[in-house]
Amino acid sequence: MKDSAGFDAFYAATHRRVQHQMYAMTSNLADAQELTQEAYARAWQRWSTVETYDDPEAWVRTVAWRLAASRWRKAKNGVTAMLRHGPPEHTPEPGVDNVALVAALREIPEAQRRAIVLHHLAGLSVAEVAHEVGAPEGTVKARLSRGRAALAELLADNSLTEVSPHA
Amino acid sequence: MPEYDSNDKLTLTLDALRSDVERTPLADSMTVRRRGDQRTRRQAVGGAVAVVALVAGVAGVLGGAGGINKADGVPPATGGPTASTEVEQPLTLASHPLLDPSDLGRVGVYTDWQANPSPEEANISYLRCMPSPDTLAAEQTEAGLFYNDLDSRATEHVLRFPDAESAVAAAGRLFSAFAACDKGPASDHVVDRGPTDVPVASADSAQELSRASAPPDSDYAYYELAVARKGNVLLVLQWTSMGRPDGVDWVWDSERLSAALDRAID
Repeated sequence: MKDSAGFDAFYAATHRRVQHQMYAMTSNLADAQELTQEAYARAWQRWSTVETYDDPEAWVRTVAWRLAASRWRKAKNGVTAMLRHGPPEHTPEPGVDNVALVAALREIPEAQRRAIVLHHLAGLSVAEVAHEVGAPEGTVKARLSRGRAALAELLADNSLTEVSPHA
Repeated sequence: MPEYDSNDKLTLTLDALRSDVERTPLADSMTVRRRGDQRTRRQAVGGAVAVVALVAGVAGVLGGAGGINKADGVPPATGGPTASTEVEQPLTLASHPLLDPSDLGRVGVYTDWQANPSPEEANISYLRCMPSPDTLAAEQTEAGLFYNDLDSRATEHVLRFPDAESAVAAAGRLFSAFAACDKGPASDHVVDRGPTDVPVASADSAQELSRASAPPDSDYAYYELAVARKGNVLLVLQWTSMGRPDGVDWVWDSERLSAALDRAID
């Protein structure tokens, strides 16, 4: 018997965070909604196992990301999910203040975007990002550096490339 | 590169996206659980159909046209919902169902992949005991070889069967063949791994195994097999190189298997 109360508490505590991260990764609110829901639905299917993981949220995030990557390779998947589950109830455009940021995120390569989101939004260390994406730490550092530089240029904000005092 | 700092300017910039997310309604947890339960039911129905078909096939063989003898105490199926109405149609292969060389990326020192889409080249057996996937009696087989200037080779077979249970049975043949593989002379050093499950979001199942084998005082040959199935489509990926690529646990990891499955199916 799966622990629905435990799942509900986990969902309530984490789903906004995951959707926020998926929004930054996909630059699309509707996609972020759909991917987040699907990832949590899959977590519920295996909840008796997933809840024993050290970090179930990381599992959900990884599943959501893989679904996103899969969807990009084959746009039809999104149509299939929409047909099966219906369109999201409401898919707003970015707020006025975020239009430029969303547009800039769309411009940088997926790998850089994912590294930036995991490091700067999910709060993972470089080593943790490396573990989650399956890449060497040096590669992650390079992706972060290039991604920051690209975003700074796109947003015309040089302060984004400033080195943090917590080096 | 600095470690994470919650007051970092980029972190604060990205945090602004939170305002968009917070005005976006998200399903409550009960709805999400229901969605998960629907997925489970669909998968269970697909599995049940496979079992029913298998039992029916065995019954047909054992009992002739009359099916299972009532004396066995198994009543004939009557009425009830027909599972087939809930099962998705058999999947078809994409027009270009094979991996792009760029999907392989860097595998240890191996990079700069080129594709040879000739089925004959892909049907070479790297382990003598393993049947070539083109002998698995699929309705449609697409195959390709990936190579580079070094000693590694990768092959891909995308097989379309008439139904899921045929694909399951074909995968079983591959794993059974490996399990029965001769390990060579006793002096050879042989290390097998797997079969082990691979998490692939879009697959119904995915497993992989490997064998490293070396005669005495010799470099070892590394072989890896991954088999992923979605419905009636089976994906078979093989790899061979001298030694396991540096820094690589499994060549056919979740990312590459996901990419291959996404490309394979229409």
